Amino acid sequence: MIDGFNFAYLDEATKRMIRRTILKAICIPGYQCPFGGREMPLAYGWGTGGIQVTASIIGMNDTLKVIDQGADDTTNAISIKNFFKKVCKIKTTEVTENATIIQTRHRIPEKKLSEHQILVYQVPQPEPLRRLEPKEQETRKLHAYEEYALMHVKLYEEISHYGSVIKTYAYPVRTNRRYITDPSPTPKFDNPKMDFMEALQLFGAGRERRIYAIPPYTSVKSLDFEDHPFEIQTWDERCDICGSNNSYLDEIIVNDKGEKKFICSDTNYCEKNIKT
Amino acid sequence: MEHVGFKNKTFESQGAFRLILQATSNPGKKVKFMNDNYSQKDLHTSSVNIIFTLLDLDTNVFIQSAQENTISNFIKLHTGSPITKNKVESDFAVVTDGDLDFDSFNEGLDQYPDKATTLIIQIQSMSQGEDFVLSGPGIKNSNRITLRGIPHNFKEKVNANSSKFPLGVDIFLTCKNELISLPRTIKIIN
Amino acid sequence: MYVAVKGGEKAIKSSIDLLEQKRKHISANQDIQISQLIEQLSFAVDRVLSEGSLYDKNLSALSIKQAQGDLVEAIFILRAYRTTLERFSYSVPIDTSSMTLKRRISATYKDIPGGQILGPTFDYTHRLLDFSLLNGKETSNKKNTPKSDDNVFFPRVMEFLNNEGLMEKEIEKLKSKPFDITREPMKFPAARDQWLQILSRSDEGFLLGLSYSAIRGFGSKGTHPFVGEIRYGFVDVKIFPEELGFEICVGEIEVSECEMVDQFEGSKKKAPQFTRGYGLTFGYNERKAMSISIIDRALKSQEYGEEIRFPIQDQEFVLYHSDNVEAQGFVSHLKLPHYVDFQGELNLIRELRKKILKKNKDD
Repeated sequence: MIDGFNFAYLDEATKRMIRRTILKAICIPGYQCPFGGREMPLAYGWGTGGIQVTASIIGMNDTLKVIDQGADDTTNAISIKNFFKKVCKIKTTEVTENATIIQTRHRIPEKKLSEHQILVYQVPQPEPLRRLEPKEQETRKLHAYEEYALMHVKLYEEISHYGSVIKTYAYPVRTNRRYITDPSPTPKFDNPKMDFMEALQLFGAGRERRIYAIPPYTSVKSLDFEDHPFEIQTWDERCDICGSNNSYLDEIIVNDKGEKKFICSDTNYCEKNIKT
Repeated sequence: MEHVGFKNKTFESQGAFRLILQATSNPGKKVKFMNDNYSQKDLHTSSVNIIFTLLDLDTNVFIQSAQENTISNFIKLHTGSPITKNKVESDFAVVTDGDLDFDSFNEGLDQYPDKATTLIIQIQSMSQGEDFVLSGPGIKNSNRITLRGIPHNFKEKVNANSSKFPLGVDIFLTCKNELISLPRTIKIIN
Repeated sequence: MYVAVKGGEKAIKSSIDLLEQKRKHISANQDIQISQLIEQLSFAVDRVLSEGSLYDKNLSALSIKQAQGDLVEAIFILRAYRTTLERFSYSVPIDTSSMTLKRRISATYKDIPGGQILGPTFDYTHRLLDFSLLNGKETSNKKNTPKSDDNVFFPRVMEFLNNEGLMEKEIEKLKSKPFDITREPMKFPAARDQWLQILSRSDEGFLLGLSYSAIRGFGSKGTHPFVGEIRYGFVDVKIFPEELGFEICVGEIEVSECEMVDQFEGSKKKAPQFTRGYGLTFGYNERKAMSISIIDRALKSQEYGEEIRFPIQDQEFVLYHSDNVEAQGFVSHLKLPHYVDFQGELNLIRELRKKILKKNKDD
């Protein structure tokens, strides 16, 4: 631990406040619980909500994995992992199943998570209705009275205009048949993994000062219509490294002519595939 | 002012919190606190763990107990929490004996259901007594628990509470060093 | 192929090394002393401690040094430190009417009891580059600066209007504990204690632009506000420990305060009165205190039943976007990789184009 700072950076009173918020969030799945978010030594929008949640739950027995865009080795994932190494001296890992806490930005690991794991999402904008209604005072009422027509109309308009819903990430879901919830900017490819997930899912939005949660074994349904059921992305290509045809693929440009290749976004999943 | 609480504040409260977290994300699951040295005459180990982990200057506490004064002094010394006589004002309620109605506490507001009271109810047994089958978020299929020394008409009260979702109180049942958590989402189906 | 995504750890380390080197190169062989920053860049130090919301000139100067003069970055560093500090007491409200004044002016009256005190100000300097400072020549400004006597009571200018009933009454005392932005998330509709506190640590540039927009025409009334009084000086900070039962002074801080007079038309039943706007900041930040007082008045629009037409009147617009630690963080996060999301958009746009191009061909 570094001099002059508490274990996991936050002081104990702050952790207590966040812990109370997390418990309330679990008791009201999908509801955005306000909390007195603090400034962190990393910038807002770079994962401060997720970091505060992780800092409030983490202990010496934990093994932490941090991913950004599915990868363990992207700069921001490394930076956050280094932060926790500095302020907690905890074990870290890249192996999905060895982690007790996984902090993520924009992906859910391909490997199925277990009851012994907690998935912490970094959330830039927790309010799924914000693009439709900029005012917090209004969106809070819409959630309170379960007044979600606005969202359904928006999605239906997209279908009539483009032939399909044009949301590819942060695709809204309904949690426990009650609150419409933002899954954070994960691709809609990951939405089905949230439904009845065995692991606890915690969402931290630092700048907006909201925490929300999805308990294990909870219904999470992507919004859709009978005549336009929800679909996830598919690729004609396979991963250029491991040959996977069922994981989320990133496109990379390999030469000046703009030729493309596709590789797994989940780097740990990809490595495992090569080994087996 | 420094309040007493755990001997090793940072790590003991983190460990206790993870058990509370586990119980709350898996309603009906019994979790055990291993630090028995914190039990005292009127409060069980698990109650004390919750009190030390979650209560402080910012939480109003209501106490229902024949030993109200002792418990009140204990909580003030260890957490600094203001004690309230008003159930609706309470963030937490510590109940060691007597019957109680859930709906006399704060059930939250339409726009802020998180403002609801958390009840810490001390009961007599979690291995003998009446059987209840639970269902709801956090439970794979269903969970059976056995309880003794609970409020009257427990099943009806729990189900009336969960029918108000997203409003309603959240409940911690404590007995010796064990804890069962019953969030407002949980229904007793049998 | 993995080159594209591997190497994050190394890259971060090199980047941090380069940043540290950059600082060293700039100051060559002369390391800037913290005391020099406090004495010679006092406005920068005051801005950082005000927006960092931590009154400590040393730490403010240190963060400016560490941030290599990037003030928004320095504010961020100071805030991140402040958040780890335990709170040991609440002060009683400071009393600015018993301020040890360094400056006090009013634009509404030519003379006021206690007099106008110009104090140190750029207002009447000619903004000509002073080449004599170029070679680090020592300035011989050792003259005795006139200073107001300690413990002299200067009545508030606004009180004269108040006594005549021409001015709306100021809130006497808060009924509940004041809102605390460092401990609570924002609530809407916001009360005045909430917005005055938030504005006090908001970005000076944002506040200046907003207040300018209001007096230029994107404001509620289009009338011209008047500076009732601007004060800058020292005030005592006192605490009231319950166990002692009396107040003790724990130090003094520098603050800038502005009270603005604005028109209010009243109604058929209610006689017209002036309305007021108030602004207070840590340190010598007069421009900011003035901006806050204009915004304070505009944010009262809702209370006065005025039509909300302009950004400055909209609580959520003003309060959610005025904090530069939040704003710089979120704008800069766009630099983070987004290739997973972008991949989704790429797939979708190709899909949509394919559909439409095919349809056009078939037609």
